[in-house]
Amino acid sequence: MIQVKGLEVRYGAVTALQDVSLQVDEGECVAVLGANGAGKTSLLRAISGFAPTAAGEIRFKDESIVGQRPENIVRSGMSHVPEGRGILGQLTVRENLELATAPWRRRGDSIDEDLERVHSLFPKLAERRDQRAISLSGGEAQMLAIGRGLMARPRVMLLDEPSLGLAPVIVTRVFDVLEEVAAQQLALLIVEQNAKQALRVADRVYVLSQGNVVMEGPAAEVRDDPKMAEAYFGV
Amino acid sequence: MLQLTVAGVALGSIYALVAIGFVIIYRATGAVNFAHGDMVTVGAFAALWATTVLEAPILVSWLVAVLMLGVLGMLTYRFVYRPLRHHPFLAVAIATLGLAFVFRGVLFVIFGPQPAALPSPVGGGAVSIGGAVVSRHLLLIIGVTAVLVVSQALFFRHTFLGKSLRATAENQEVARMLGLRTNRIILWTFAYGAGLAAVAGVLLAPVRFVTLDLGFGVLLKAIVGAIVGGFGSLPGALVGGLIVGLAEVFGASLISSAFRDTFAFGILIIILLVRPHGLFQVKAEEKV
Ligand SMILES: Nc1ncnc2c1ncn2[C@@H]1O[C@H](COP(=O)(O)OP(=O)(O)OP(=O)(O)O)[C@@H](O)[C@H]1O
Ligand SMILES: [Mg+2]
Repeated sequence: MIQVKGLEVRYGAVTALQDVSLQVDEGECVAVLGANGAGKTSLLRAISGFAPTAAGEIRFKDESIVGQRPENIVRSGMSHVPEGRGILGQLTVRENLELATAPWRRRGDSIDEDLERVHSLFPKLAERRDQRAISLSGGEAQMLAIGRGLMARPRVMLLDEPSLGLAPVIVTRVFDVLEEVAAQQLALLIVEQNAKQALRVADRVYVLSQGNVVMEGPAAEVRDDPKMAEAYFGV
Repeated sequence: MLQLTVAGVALGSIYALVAIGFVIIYRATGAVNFAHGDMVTVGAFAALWATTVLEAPILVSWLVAVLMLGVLGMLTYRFVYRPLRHHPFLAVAIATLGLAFVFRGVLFVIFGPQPAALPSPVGGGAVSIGGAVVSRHLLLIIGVTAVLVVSQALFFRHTFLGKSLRATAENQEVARMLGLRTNRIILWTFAYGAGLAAVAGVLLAPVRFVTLDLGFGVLLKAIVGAIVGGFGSLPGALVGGLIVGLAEVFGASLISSAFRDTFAFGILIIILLVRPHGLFQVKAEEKV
């Protein structure tokens, strides 16, 4: 579904990623773990077209997408749930969800079934549908961000630190839902600092440190590997 | 009294239309458009051209003016804003000021310096309401503005494009993450904003004469209105525009017409002293 080869991302003199290669297969759930500043956000933004690719190759559905406009990448079936959630606070919860159908919706298409599905995953969003999204709590906002990602009917969803700033109970809830959607043939690429939760839902894991992939393998193996802790918390 | 109120609301409606167009473009791009006033002028001249050269009926000439300005708005986006979109605020502002002079220059070459008259579709007559004599055209100005403001509000609330415009204005990057083609959306915003300027131009022309300076002063007052209302807010632009129009008309008639421009700025200073962010304060998070 997604193949990244030799990716390099630079911001002026700062190199955020170098020679990063990774792959997400159809229906697979992949986690990328990394500490602060490891380059997780840069990786996702390069894939969805927001960060410039200095070198390397990014393929989505067997097509190179380097240099494509982000909105067109999203429209071809890739949702991006950004760091900090990217909620449109002046719009209502429903409007946030509705706009996310832009990739597939044509005049007259109904979005009710999709809304129904998101509401059943996140009942709180149904309760608050007509409120301005700015009034949501952090957990609800993250649910809205994920719900929005699903409304696009994506083939793959990129999630940038969905646990950020949330209470542990809420983090567990969010990852329960991610586990549930991952079971429905949607591919997920989750970047996280919260290794415990990410390893719980992921099939495969990459560890990113200072812009390099330092380790990769099946989640089950990495979970029990002491080197993992070193790679992740070392530096 | 009724007469003055109608005149004030009519003038305020023009300011409001201009302020709304100005603010809509500001919200979509984060940049000001100092050519907006001259777009009002171009709109009036476009209608004049349609009535004289094409011999079109007045209402058709209005349509021609609005469509032409819509296209001009799109061209402005494509050739002024887009190339400069990563440049500082001031660079874009100055570029639009330059554009204003380009518009003027072109109009001068085509139409020359003589003022011309653009008639109103309702003629020059007046109606009597409760003993007061009120110009039909002023009532038309108010009616057209009311219809536009209401349809615009419905459009922003209830259509997909309207919601996309609000999303783009709030956070363009997030809008793109949702798959919205923000370039196109901003293009339509410019078309709409410039179209509103044309409406203001054709509504104002029968009251003022069509001259090269028609829109410039109007833009200044409209910006005052937008600031009075709370810069960036659309309801603020409407209410602020009306306040400035009413202040100008009542001030000129009750105190002295020599100071008519002073009243707009007087109101601005008073309101900003009481409410530094204007009447409809735009919250910080709304601007981001
Ligand atoms: N827009 C930018 N301009 C300059 N440097 C940047 C920019 N964005 C990121 N960087 C730098 O690139 C490196 C990687 O940043 P990135 O945000 O990708 O890391 P991250 O793993 O997402 O970190 P965090 O856990 O803080 O979200 C950091 O050194 C950061 O300072
Ligand atoms: Mg990050």
